[in-house]
Amino acid sequence: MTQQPDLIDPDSIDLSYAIGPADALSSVELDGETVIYDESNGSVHLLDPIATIVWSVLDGTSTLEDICADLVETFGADPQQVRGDVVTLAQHLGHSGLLAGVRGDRIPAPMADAPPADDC
Amino acid sequence: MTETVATSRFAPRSAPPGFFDDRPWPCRTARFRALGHDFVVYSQSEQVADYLDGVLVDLAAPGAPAAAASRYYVLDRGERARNRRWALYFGAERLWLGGRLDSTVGTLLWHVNQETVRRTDPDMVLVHAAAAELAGVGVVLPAPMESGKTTTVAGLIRAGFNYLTDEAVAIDPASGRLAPFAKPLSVDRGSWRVLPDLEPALTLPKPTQWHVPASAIRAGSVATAVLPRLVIAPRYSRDAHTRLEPVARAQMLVMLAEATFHFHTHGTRNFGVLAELTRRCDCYQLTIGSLDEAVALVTELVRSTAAQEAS
Repeated sequence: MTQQPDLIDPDSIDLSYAIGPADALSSVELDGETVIYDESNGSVHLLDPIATIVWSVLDGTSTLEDICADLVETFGADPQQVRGDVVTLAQHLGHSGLLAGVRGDRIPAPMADAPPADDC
Repeated sequence: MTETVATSRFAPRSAPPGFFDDRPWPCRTARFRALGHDFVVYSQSEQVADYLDGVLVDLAAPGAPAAAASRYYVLDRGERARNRRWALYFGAERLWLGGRLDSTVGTLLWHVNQETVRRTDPDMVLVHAAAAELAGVGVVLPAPMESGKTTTVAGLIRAGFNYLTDEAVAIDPASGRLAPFAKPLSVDRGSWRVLPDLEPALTLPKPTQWHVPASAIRAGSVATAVLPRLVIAPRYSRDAHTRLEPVARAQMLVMLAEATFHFHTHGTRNFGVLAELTRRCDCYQLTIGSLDEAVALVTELVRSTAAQEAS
């Protein structure tokens, strides 16, 4: 029997973490926004343009500190602001079950079925 | 069609073997094909068969019913059965027992929709939406119930669009094309005032809905398969200023996923097909205060899209 690796608490994510997308995700970028489908639980997530940029560089090997440094350099943004926003976003993604090795605990309800074809 | 019909004292919940074979069925409709649902209706009432042949004319399929075609039976138990006069069966399963013919037929048409979705779902992505086509431009109109899908598509047909569906848009995963599901438009009482010319010549007593085939609105108005280029989410809002506003594709993709029948059953496939459709389409919200103005806006947008495609 294989041992399930311990999942980390999303709120414990800080700048030292290297995080990446969970398995079983399909995603598409449309005009700078991203839609993610999580096959494991049937949920669909919409990321705004800023979240899309961060999501695109989460590779499981770069730390959030590294990613923040790149973002500050690229966009000339306030380093303190960027660090705060990136950690908050990473924790949110973790809660939503979208990060590998992180315990999702606020996963949106799965896509409900469309209403039955009953307008007759 | 005039032979005397023996009425039945019984309408069991589940018909035993031979139950239907042992009685006369003087009236049979044409063969119908709604996407993956191939069916025929047997009836003891000429009125029922004529009505269904009329409203389902756009689903009529050539040839005799296939052996595997599903069978509906409408059993008339006679006037003395009062509020249990009409029994509707799908195969051996009784779907309905009641005294009103319009409710019996309404239940049959409702079940056709249900069964069409169930049988087509493995092969096609099915979105709860209306759809129409003009100048080779497919338009998908997703909206929750009571948002004006049917009324909008009826207005578009009157204006020269061809009809795909007012209920379930079927997307072929391989080609991305929309396949027609030309069920009769189900026009609720609330829309009769704005669509008075759609009042059918053939109705059942005390109808609560008009069942209107697209070809009765405009002859030859059923579309063939077409690629979608526009997704327009209609929303009726009494006294609102009628307007078209762009919607982000990502937001529309989420809306389409929410409107997809059994989305999670084939989730990854459905997500991929909807993502591709959304990528290919321009997306809008249509707020409808006036049907005529809404139809004019959509027509102008479609013609402009067709002109862009051509150039």
